[in-house]
Amino acid sequence: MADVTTQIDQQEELNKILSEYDTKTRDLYNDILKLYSEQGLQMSKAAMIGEIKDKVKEAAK
Amino acid sequence: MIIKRLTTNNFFRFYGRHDFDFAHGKDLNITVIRGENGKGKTTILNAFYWCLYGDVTLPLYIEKIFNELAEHNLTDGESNTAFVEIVIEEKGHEYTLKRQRTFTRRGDAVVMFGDEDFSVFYKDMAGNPVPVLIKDKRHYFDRFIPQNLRGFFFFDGERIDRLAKVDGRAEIRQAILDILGLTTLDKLKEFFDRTKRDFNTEQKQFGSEDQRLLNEGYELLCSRRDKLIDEIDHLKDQQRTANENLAVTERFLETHNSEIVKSQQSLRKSLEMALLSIEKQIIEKQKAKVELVTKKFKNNLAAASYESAFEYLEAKRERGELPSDIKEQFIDDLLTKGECICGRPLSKDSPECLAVMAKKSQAGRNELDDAYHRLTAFIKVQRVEITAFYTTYHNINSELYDLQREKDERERQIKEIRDKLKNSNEEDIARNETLREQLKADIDGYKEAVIRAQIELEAQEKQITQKEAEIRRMEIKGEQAEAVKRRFDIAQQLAELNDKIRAYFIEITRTNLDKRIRNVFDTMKEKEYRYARLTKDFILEITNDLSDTDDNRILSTGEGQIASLAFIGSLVSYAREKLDDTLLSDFSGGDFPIVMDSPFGNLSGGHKANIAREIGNLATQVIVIVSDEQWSSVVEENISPRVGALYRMEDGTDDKQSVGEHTVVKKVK
Repeated sequence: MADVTTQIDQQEELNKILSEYDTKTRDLYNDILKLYSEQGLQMSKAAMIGEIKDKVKEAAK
Repeated sequence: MIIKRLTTNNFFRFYGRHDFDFAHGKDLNITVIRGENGKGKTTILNAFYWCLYGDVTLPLYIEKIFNELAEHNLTDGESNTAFVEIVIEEKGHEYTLKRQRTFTRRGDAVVMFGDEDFSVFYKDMAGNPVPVLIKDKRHYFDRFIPQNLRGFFFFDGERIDRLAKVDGRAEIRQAILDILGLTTLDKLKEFFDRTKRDFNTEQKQFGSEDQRLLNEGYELLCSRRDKLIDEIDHLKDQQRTANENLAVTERFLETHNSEIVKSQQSLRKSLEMALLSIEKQIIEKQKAKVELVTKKFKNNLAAASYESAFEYLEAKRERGELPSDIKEQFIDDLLTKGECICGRPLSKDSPECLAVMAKKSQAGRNELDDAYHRLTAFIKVQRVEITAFYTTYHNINSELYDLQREKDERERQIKEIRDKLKNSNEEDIARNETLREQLKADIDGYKEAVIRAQIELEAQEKQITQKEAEIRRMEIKGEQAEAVKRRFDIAQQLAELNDKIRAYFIEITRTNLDKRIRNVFDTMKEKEYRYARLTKDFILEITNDLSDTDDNRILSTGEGQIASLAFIGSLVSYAREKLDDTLLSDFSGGDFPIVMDSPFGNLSGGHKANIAREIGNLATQVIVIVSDEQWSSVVEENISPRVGALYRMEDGTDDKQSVGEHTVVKKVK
């Protein structure tokens, strides 16, 4: 791995990974990440899985 | 997070109420708590543990929490409390955490009254305390510093050198994940895996019989994988507990009154370090041997063929048949030029020209000559390599033999110490040594079980990936079935993306920490030529140069301690920077204090000075608990510029001391 030290470099590297996926998948991933960061600790495991499943079902329509 | 105050009340040795206000200024960020041995150093560390996490570590027992003198002073029917209160400031909010037990005298007996109570208050805008509703009283503080990480922030300085041992690897990796919020991605992996499982189950009802079998196969594999994950977690918990208990028994031997026991334990420690290093070298040599045989031994099998081919070609060469002395290209060049080397013209169809052309048919063909040269050169190289193979092979074997002898000798010495201590006439020494032996065996057992489970888990994961590919290739019919399959595919993509991001962040964090550890270690090291690094396998290593090839060096306790402190300091500073990192909102770090018991234990003067000078740079706030024995003019001189508060622990007055031994605390600075 390249010597990546700055946030800008990190963002670029991250963008490279994300670019391998379509916009829909990327948005959905970010959405779930945000959900877990904001509410994950308050939610039960089952509730969190339920939320993810709902989001995936919506995206699969 | 800043720890503003610690208050103890009738907590073990601490009779009555004692307040410790901790320094947290930019320049004066160190608080020192000093006292003679046996005056409550470990009790202070345990005050943090009990209040924040609800437990204490050996040699304290929670049943003895209520101070002896306070207990003695209770009259019949009267109650008093043992409590610890900690005031912290986190992200601009002040929280007060308090854990307490109430005790009542009933006749001769003093009993605990009611349950242990734990409460948290925060200050509102007007400065009024507001109670926080707490569901889990044991794990409330985990949101600030998770229980499994407390050893990095509230620790025994003398024991911290364990991070620089092979065993520290898992701890280091987990700490990086936890502190930097990367466990979020672990959690997401778990959720995505579960989501895939559920969608797979849904698929069963829509597919053909074959497809249903495929879905069921997948389900079985997932179920086994989840069981293995639970099993590994459980084993690791057991291993962690055994390690903690081992640390206690070793501490007992290291601090024993008998100088013989102390020196035996110290000798064993260095022997075990040396043994670890030898074992590592043996593994490396064995790997080199396997690699040598795998890559080079085939040449030896073909040695006879090389020889006969070489002899054949040599005979040809001696007869002048190979390589040919005239080259086709040479003839062509003469004909193009129209002049022979003797100077005669080579006009078309002239006898001279025909004679030269006739030579061309005898000339050696370029390809044949090239092939000859290549082949002979190749055979020559192989002949050298065959000889080199045996030389290298014998050298490795001889080194392995020497290492094995060294290993046997170290093991023999360790066994001798073990037997001596186990057969000691003093019961507590014999008991602790037997316990130590048992714990060591248990730890080895857990390690092996974890490795076995991890190998199985890896195989299971591979099979799951294969099954997932099969499921994705499945041809399905019907609108509903297609919809369910799309869901499975999306969940699969999310899991894959999450894995890639996780791997990326772990590596970037390791690279960053590696640099920081090297820098921090450089400020504290005694030997100029030593370097610290965090390898790709998350091993904290000390080497003599910065190349990747240098072996991990055998460390003195001091170097191990400094390397571990460098790791903790680097982790803390990196976590602090991550607070402002907006790259991904959940990858936030934190600002953590460090509370250290006995950081100067068995260190040399140089190491003591270096640690004392640099300790204030390790974290925003540092609390050091130190015995008078470990305190010295070197420490004082180097640490003083950063000390904002100094406390002294002393015995209480003699008349009360005879009733119940207790400590009182005095603020010196």
